[in-house]
Amino acid sequence: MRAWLRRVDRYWFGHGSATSLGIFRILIASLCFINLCMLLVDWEAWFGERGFLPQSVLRKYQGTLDANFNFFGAAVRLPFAVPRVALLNGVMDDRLALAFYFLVMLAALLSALGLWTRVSTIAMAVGIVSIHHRNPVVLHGGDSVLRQGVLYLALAPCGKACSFDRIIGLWKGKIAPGPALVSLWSQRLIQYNLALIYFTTFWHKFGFGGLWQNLTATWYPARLHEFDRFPVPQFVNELPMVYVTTFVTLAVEFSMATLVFYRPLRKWVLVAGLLLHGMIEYQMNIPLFSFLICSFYIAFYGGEEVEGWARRLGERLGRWKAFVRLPFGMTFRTGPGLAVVAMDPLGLVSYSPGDAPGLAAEARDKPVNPYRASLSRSLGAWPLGGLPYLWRRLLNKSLQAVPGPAAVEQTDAGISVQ
Amino acid sequence: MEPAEKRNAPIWIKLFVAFHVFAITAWTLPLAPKEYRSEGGKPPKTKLDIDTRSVPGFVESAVEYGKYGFLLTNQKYIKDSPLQFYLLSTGFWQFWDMFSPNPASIDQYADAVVHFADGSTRHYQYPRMFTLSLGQKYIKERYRKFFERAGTDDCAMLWPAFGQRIALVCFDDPRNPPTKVDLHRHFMKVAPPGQKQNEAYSDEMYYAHTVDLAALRQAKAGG
Repeated sequence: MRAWLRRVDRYWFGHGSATSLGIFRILIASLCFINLCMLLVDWEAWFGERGFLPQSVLRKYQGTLDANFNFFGAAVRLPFAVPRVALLNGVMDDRLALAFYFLVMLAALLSALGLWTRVSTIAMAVGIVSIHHRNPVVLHGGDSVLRQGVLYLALAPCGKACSFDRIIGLWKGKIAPGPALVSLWSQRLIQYNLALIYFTTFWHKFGFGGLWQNLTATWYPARLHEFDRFPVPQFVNELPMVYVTTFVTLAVEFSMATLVFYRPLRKWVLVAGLLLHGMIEYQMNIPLFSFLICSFYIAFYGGEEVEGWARRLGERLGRWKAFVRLPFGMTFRTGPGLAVVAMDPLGLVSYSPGDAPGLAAEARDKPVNPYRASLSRSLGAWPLGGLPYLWRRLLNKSLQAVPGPAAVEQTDAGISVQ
Repeated sequence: MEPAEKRNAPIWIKLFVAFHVFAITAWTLPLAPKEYRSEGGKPPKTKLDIDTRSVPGFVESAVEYGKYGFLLTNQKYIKDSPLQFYLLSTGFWQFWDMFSPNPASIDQYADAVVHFADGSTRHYQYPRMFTLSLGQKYIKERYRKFFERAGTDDCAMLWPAFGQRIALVCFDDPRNPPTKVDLHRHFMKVAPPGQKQNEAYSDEMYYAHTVDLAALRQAKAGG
């Protein structure tokens, strides 16, 4: 029993690489930003006092949190209403509400970049929950997935990897190189919540839905024209294919709740989930839902596994590798050198000492622009690409004169600056 | 003796995780069917009981007793407990009933007839996804979701603001303001496989909104 408890404890709270959490943060915060941009088009209609749900109507629709509750069978009444995280409720001035909305968008953008991650993820979570409480009438399943995602980000140490916080920390020498290790409880919660989504939706359908039980359920949504998106061949929505698609939907949902935890089957179950949601995204107009829920899938892979993929992918893309020669007599400063290399997770750029007066690079045996070659291959530097010359300035700033040859190497053991 | 293992997370984190897992699990479990639930202090229509008259009846009722009894207990002792405050106030509330227990089988859309002060009328087409371009329907889908709820009788409290918003959108001429908005809903029920499919949509005027002119002019001026 004690050994079992220890295994459970190690599974939920053991330490591992934060890379999966970092990728989860990028995906969810980016989708959150896109979602907010989409809602912005009709902002006044949904959140303004002149819209479909002014504050007075919201109060009637939502009410206050019921102060009555049941405590082991006894009815109890609280003398006060329980508050919600709802910073927009009661705000009658649209300018204030819109300013708040823009701040949430900014928080989402910063979270995606991993800048001031702890503060920005908390701000994003508080903002999204407040926005959802401001207009619960327009929320769909994708919004609920998003809300859970941003709340987990606020709890998780998701800025420890794949973030500008990490790059800045490395640059300043405040962070040690190598994968950041964190207690994985927040990643396990994300996994568990996703499995719970599939488990309860499966139970609702299989336990209570006659149309799911007789395998004709997918007949109906395919004929609701308000959901129409891209066309599919007629036979897909006719019998007997309807039996097949209904059964497959149930089987995938059940597997995503159970078999996904069995490691040998994990990959196949996740691929099945991706195909199911790919089909939903293609056929039905439910904005961002499939993207959001599939973003949770990354939580089923450890950070070390993701880093391994990146390494192997980089090796496969070896023919695209660029060889950047540092200027003669120059080397990377320790911190900045580590930061520059950390921005290249696929290892597609090799920096080594050169004999020319400036930076030079080769790719596929041809001379190329060293700044463009290193920027285009360093995924972590892509957000900097929008600002002209920033990457060039960063690369130049990361160099210093030394008497001997210099090189930064990325090996299995980590990164070394010589 | 083995050295003591280093603690991987503080005890309060472990307690929080255990509590959170319990809370979201209990909250997301389905509700027992309506006839077994007591709502608003009223006793349930059907009482859970075990049938001892025959073996098949016993097995069926015992399974039902176990399943619904569990869900009713969860409702009474967990969902209705103070646990609800944690989920409802923080935003961790969640309920995953998309396309369930059965998928919707009614296609619906809304429109309105706007009456103006000079006696004229204008048809207002509330955004209907079927008629929008691919890009537009992706961005405007909230209109469908809003009407999915606001078009039901359970959400009648939303109708006056719905009508007032449409009046504002149609208020182009200050000398000829909208005075009344008739909200219409249109339904088409999808027939089961093997049966003749309906093509026509029903048309029902479900609410006539008398426009609050003062509020309308104030809203227009504010814009």
